Amino acid sequence: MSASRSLPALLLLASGLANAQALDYGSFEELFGEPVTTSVTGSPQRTSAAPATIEIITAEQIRRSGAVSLPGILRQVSGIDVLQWTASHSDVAVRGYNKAFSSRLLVLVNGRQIYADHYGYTPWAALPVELGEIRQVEIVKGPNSALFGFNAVGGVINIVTYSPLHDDVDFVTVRAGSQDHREVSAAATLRAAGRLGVRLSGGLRESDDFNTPLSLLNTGVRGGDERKSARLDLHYQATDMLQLELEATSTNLLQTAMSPSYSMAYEDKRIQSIKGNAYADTRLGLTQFQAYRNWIENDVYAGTFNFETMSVGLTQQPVARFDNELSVVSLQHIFRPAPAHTVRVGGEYRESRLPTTPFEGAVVSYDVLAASGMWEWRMADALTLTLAARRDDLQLGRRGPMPAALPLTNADWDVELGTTSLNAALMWQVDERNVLRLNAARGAQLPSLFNLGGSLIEIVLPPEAPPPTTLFVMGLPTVRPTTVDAVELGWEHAFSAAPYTMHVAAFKGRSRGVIADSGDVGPAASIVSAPANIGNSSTRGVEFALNGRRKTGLGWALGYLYQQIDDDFGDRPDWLTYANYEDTTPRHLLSGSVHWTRGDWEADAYLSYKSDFGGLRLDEDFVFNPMDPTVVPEAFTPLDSVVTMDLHLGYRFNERLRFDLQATNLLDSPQTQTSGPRVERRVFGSLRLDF
Amino acid sequence: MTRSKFIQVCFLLGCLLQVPAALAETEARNLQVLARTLGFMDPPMKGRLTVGILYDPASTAAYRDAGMLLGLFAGGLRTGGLTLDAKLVPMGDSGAADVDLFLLSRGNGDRAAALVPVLKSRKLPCLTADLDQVRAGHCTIGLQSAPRVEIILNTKLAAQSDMAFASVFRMMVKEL
Repeated sequence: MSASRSLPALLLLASGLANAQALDYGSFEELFGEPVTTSVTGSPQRTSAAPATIEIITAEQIRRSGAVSLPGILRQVSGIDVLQWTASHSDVAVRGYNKAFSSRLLVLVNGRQIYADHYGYTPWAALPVELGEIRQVEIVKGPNSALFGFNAVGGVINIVTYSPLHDDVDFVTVRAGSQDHREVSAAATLRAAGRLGVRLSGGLRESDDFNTPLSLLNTGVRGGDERKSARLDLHYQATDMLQLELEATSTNLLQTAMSPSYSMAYEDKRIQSIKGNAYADTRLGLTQFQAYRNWIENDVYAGTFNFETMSVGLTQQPVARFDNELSVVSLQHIFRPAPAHTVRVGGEYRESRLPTTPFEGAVVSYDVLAASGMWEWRMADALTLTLAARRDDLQLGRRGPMPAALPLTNADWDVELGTTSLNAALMWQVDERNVLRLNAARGAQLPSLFNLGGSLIEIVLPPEAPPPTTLFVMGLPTVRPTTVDAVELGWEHAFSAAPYTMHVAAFKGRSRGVIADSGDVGPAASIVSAPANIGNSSTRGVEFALNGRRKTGLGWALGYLYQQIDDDFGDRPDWLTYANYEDTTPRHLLSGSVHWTRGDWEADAYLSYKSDFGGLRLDEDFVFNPMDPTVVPEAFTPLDSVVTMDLHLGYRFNERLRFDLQATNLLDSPQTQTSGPRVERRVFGSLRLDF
Repeated sequence: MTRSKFIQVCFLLGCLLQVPAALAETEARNLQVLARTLGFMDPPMKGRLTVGILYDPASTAAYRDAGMLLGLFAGGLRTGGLTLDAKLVPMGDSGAADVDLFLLSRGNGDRAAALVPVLKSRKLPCLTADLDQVRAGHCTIGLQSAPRVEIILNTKLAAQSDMAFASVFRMMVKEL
């Protein structure tokens, strides 16, 4: 097609640009020929202008993935480590420090926190979003706390869905596969008068967990996986200058999971949220107000073995019950006081609360008041400086009863914590094909509410035991945030000979006051196990990514991460802290993919390699003897290198109907990928109808 | 066909025959960016609009570039709420030309400075792929689509000609 003849058709795509007060990702992507984001500085930016290492997974990449879950898709991104524990439970980390219930990565959907404060992790399987309604997944690597506050110390993943006001997303996908996987996912968009857009989406999924052997300790913990999710997105263009948004979600999840103490559990999660946004685009700048509330109810069951009937099953009652509520209200304003300067000012209030568990009746909570600012200065045509800072002041509290034998009072929780987060970046556009970037950052990782006292286990010993005869395993208000400092030097290069792009980054970081879920004793002899700041850890590494796409329909990508972590946790053993990042983080992560398109056919292959590493797990033979606590179990398990392969084959029958065949863990099944049970090969067939 | 229309068609055909295909493709992409940019004006431009393609009759380069641009508008270009027609406007006629916005061709040099008082008095937008004209303050918006999309906005001239843009758009373009 000639340029002049293709022009009218392309221009038709540019329709509906008017009244784009909130960031209309689709229109700006068409305008600039690249995705746009707000996840780095809070200000809308082209990804090539964002002052951080950022990778975007597009809707097409999600569709063409060999995986059918976001962690599986993320495993194909350079620098990302995924630990798959069960069929539906995975943990994701950017640049190392992965573990069961990984806590250094802040995950959001359209800016709303998905990260669960109560345990400091992301419930990936309970994400309230269907894969088919995701426009892009934004992965910001390195600390980004000056924008998002606590817990964005390893990076940030913001999942951006299509806008019901600007994008028609109407589909039904049915999927079936191994492990008796059955799934249906759908979305429908309604519009009225060009000012109102509503999208309803939802999904149902059932499958079995893997059928690989479990340790005796975890026997019976597999109860089957099930996900039910519904979502409403309503966008209303109130005036040319004002856009209002409402989002409501509900997800129920049943899954087998690996707990942070490396024993397996069966979880019954019920997660709801409601969020409101208002965007005003005026001559004074862009103002955004956001308020949301998340409710997470999580009942945790343990596996049991009945010796009389020789049968396995789950405990009748939950062994722990979490009921976390998070409320957030924020306001930010972005403006340009002069052509070369962009400024963002913002304020946020958040409150998170967790009733104590399994001891009932008390509540541990915190309020956070935060103020943040960002200044971007285009010092010269090719040189941009970005400085951002955020101050978080946290007030911890506790109310409700205390076990009689516990020598603490609620006043011990009257603690004020203040942290300052910083992000600085200097970007030099050397020429049209080369960009150099220098970053420095300081972020903070907050102890989970569980570690701050939400966990309260009372153990009553036999009267003949030496005093104290009531012991406690619990969280304490003395745990402090981990401070993470990081520097990074990055180079982006676009080759002139072909549409190839390259990214290289060298990074270094230091975490002070690393939090372990256990590893200390409390202020009283009866507190035998408590979370603690166990020491420092440093990391350094190099990351490399190369992408290419040819007009012949052939594309490819290559990613590599070398990383070394040095822990300084004193002489605390692994079995006590369950924190050993030095030996559990692989030195080498390599990923490669090839993509082929011809006519209505698509084929994609993904290969990833993880060098020798290690994992932690409970010693199956160990039984704690309070009469002789010097007997300790072994926790560290060396693991061999792992190579995994995923495949995708797609065929489009017509504009509305397509079939996809997806397969994960193809090379070896069952395969040891973690210190948990081995994982199996999975094959899925999907039929998608767009209407 | 009127005589002037006949001359325009002859002019257009002559220009298109001399234009390398790659250059035409680049200009076509520039026009895509142009059309999309109009959607981010505050208020957004809507309806049927006439684009005045400005050129200096004394400049052969400007003359050819204007002709090529006119060819790319052949038959009118439609977006969702916008239809763009184009006609050639010699620089000297810019004060009286019946157009809704200007598209400044390449190769006009400093002679484009004569356009500034017209933009201020008539409050019309000026767009161009010649980024130096925007840097010099002769035109309001500069557009370039290759090797990567660049949009620069002369804020002083925009203010003087009563042009405003959505803030979210301004955040992502280079303002001078």
